Parts: sequence; structure tokens; C-alpha cells
Amino acid sequence: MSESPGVQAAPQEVWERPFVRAHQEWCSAFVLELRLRDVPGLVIGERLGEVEGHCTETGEPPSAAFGDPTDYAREIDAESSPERVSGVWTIAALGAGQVLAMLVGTAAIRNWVSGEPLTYNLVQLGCLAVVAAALLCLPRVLRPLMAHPWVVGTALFAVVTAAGVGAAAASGTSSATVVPVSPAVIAIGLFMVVIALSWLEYRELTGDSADDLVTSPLTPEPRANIAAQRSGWIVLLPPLMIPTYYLAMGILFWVFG
Amino acid sequence: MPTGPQPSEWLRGVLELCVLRVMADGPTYGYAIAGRLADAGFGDIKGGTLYPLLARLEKNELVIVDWRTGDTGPGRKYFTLTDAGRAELEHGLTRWEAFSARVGVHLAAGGDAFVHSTHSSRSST
Repeated sequence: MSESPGVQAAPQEVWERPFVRAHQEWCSAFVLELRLRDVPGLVIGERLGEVEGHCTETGEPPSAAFGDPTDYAREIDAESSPERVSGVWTIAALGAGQVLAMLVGTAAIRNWVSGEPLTYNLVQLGCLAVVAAALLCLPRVLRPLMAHPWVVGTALFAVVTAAGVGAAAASGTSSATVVPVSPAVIAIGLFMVVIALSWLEYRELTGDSADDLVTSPLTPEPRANIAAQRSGWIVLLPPLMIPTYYLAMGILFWVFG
Repeated sequence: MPTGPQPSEWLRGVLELCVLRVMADGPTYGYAIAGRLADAGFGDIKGGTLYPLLARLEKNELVIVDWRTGDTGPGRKYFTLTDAGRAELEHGLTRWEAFSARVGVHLAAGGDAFVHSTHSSRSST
């Protein structure tokens, strides 16, 4: 057979490959584990390319040739170069910051509209801390969430809901401390914070890590450009979500408050 | 003499050396390495065993890698021994020969001792 050394194929996301689509569950778990270990997309693509190349030649499914995808990902990562990207945890921290700023900020808008000072008591602060902790540990629970979506998802939803209900129930029940800043200043200030964090999140998703897609070193399949175009606008959604919600809540409070 | 597959822990100890030896014949790829090892009687080496080892060789700069496209299949990752890889192979072969000779002498002596022991116990009865 003829082979050409060092062929530089155009990058193609692994999700477009028929092999990955045929073994979606195994490949998703493998990529997720390596992503959670902050392995660069290019390296993940190479590892998945090894799996695809080997399985194509042997005719085995990846589960037979490489065993459990999570265990194999850990093993191959332990033997690989320690190169890392910051990705997952940075985005989790930025997202948690945005949600906290939104929760406090939208509460401030409500008080701004009603002309009351913004107050917080210890229970409410505790509930905010619970929400922040739940958001910050999202990368950690992503693995069990994928394995047991209903059990872990319900538990996570219950914790966040309980924190929200607890914070609402605690308002006015114990001695509250007045935040010594005008609700208008807090609402506008935190909106600016949300915008800034969104910008940082967008930079994280597109800037330094723009080339951090999980691309395959193997011969490209058709539809590579579709994937590239789609990833261009999809990456805008997470950073825009919180500012949009913040703005919508502000308008709602002003119109119906 | 009939021989079954070797215990997996024996193979684990020498697999890296055997893989380096395969690579000494020229650039090669994972499936071909597994095939050569199977032909040599080492049994079916699974991808989950072979590729972490290849990753370690790459990390330790004993091999360089390049992806090549072919007429069949989506492409192959080729491994080529570096000078450091060849030196590691030579060093490993020297150590293995010394070790296997030591084991051989020991087992032969142990066998003699077993024969003597059996013979003397029969004589005494």
C-alpha cells in the first residue's frame, strides 16, 4: 500500500467522524475525562485518532480494544506529556461569579424599583454561598452527572432550589444587615461586573483557546466546515446568557414592579 | 516442548523492550507492532496495553511520531526510534541478557537441587 508521510490534513472536529458517531458513548466519555483533566484539544484528538486507527484495523469496538473509556483516559494521560490548558475550571469560576452577581444584582433592581434598601441576613448569605459552591464544583460533578443524569441532576437541582427557597423564606425573618450602598449603584455596578466576566468567559472560550477544539489528525471527512461554522456562534451563547437574563429581569422589574 | 501463553506480569516487565526491538527495524505503527508481537508468540496485546506504553516512549523522547495517510483506513501514527531510543534498546538488551542468564543459571541449579533431593529421599527409604 502507498502512504504519504507527514500529510498535513485540514483540522476536523472529531465529532464529525463516522467512527466517533458510531461509538458516541465511548468517545464522549473518553473526551470528557481528558477535558476534565485540562488536556489540550489537539492532544485529545490525537489520542482518539490512535483509538480510531487501531479499531479500524483490528475491527474491534473501542470497548473491546481499550476497555473502559474513563479508565483508559486516565491511563493514557498519566503516560503523556503534562501539557495543560486552563479551560474548565476557569470557565466554572467565571460562570459562578456571573450567577452570584446576577442574583444579588437582580435583587438590587427589585429594591431600587420599590425604593427600599438592599438587605441581607446570614441565612441568605449562606444560601448564596451554597449556590456558589454548587456552581464551582460543576466540573467535578460532571463525570457522575453523565453517568447518572437523573440522580445527580435531581440532587443538584434540589440543592440549588433549596438554597433559593431558603433565601426567599429567610428574608425578613432574622436581623438583616442593610447593605450600605444604594441598590441602584449595586444593580448597575454588578451589571458591569457581569458584562466584564462575560467578556472574560468569551475570551477564554474563543481567544487563547480558539485552537483548542478536539480535532482529529486523521484524513478529514466531509462537513468539517459546517462544524467550524457552528462552533463559531455556539461559543457566543454561554457568555451572553447571564447578561441577557440580567437585563430581562431588570426590564421586568421596572415594567411590572 | 508445548508452551502456553506467558503470565501477563512477565510480559509487562519486558513489553517495552520488545516494542523497542520491533521499532529498531524501521518506522512502524501500533497495529503492526501488536501484529509482530502476536507473531512472536506474545499473544494478543490489546490497544489499552500498547498505546499507553507508546505514549510513554513518546513522552521520554525515545521515539518521534508522525501521522501518515494511506490508501486504506483513516491514517496511521508512525513511531520512529530516536538515537536515545536506540541507546535505550541496547542498554535494555544488555540488561535483559544478563538477567535472563542469571535466571537460567538459578533455575537450572534449583532443578539439580530438586533432583538430588528427590533421589536422596528415595535412597533413604
